Amino acid sequence: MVTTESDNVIEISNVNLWYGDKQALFDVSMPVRRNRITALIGPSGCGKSTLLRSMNRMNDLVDGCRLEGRMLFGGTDIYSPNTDVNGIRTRIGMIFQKPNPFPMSIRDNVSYGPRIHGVEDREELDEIVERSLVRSALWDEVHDRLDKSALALSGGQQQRLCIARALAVSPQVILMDEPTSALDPMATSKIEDLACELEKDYTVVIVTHNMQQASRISDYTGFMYLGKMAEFGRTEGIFNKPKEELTERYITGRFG
Amino acid sequence: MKRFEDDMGRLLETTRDLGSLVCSTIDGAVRAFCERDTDLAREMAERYQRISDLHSVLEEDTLRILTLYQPTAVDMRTVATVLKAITYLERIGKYSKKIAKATIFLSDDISAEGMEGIPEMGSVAVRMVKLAVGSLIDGDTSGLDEISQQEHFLDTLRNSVIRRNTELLRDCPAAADVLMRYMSVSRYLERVGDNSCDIAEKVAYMVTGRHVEIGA
Repeated sequence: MVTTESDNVIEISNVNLWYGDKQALFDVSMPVRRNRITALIGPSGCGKSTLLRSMNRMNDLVDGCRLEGRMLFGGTDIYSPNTDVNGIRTRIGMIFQKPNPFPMSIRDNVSYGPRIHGVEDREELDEIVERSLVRSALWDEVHDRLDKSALALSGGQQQRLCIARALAVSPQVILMDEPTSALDPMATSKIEDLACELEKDYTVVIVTHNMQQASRISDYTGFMYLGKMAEFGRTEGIFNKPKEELTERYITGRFG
Repeated sequence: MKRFEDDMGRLLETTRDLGSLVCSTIDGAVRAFCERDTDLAREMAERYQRISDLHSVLEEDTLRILTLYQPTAVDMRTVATVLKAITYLERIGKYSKKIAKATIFLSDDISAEGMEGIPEMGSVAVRMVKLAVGSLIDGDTSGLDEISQQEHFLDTLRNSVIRRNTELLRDCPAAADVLMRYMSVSRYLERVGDNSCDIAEKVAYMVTGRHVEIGA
């Protein structure tokens, strides 16, 4: 896959998306800036998760889902018939709302991806496991029990394990779909710190209902409403002086 | 949301009270100075305590609103503006007190020499405070240009007051006590103007989200 040195790792232009007859995204355009955190906010059902999932073709798994428009990843059309979907999902990883570790050991969870991609050397796998767990800020808590079940970890640890699992295959972009909504404030704070740390080497797109979270950690924010990108811009601008009245009403809580 | 809006409503109402109190105090202090009215000067000097108390109440209210509600956008800009503006208002209150004290000190001096230009400075400064407080309370930026113009005028007047009093001081060093007081009063009025500009800048930020410099 060819990547360019452009500032935008993903370019979304005039995207429309349907689930069967129901249109969920309307003419959505936005850039995803490299090595930045982009937050997507908006009321339930506004299309933010749909947009996020369309960035690594997760919506392919939904029957009757159809997308028009252009979505480029490093200059390559994500939706071109020639695009290797697995390759896209390797480079654009995803973290879900509920942590979903595999029912296996911590080590196997992290090494699962690299093994599928053909890494067999034990030492190399160990190195990937350690590096990924260090990067996901979990290593210190689990290094002495790597062969214990991942299901014994706390919710926050499981979520960081899922992040380690995504990092193990060296993605460029990490999509996070409300990654802290099932976590307590302490675990949430760790995930937020982690997202800010990851920003140095990766690009993060996060869907969140927590507006303070969006303002705390993101560089860019997109506010979506009824399937449209109502406003996109620097987070500071969106939360200080939004251009659109609708955005102002949403972020100040005067909505509906 | 209702609780937040009630708290914001009360915050703005109390800010309005402080604004009106400061306006009438600086107005009274300047009038007392020009008319050598020591009774009025005493009354204005005593008012500073009320200004200071109200300032403290508002400071606590703004910090409480920030802590409890973490406002955003126009709400955040309004709370931030109030937090800054009340400091400027309190300072104007303090200068009013200093002018009132100078009036009481000067009550024995019947000579009006050295006064020249100060009453005019007083009316310009009072006008600036009224414009700034009005714009803060109404969230209206239409008076900001005038504040900027008045600020330049105030500076010009201040320079001539200083020049005149320096000459008088050279000719009559024995009157130093009185002349220095006049110069101080002109300095207080100049600072009142500066603080009005500061309020105006914050109001511009509150309304437009952009930082501007007024009267620089």
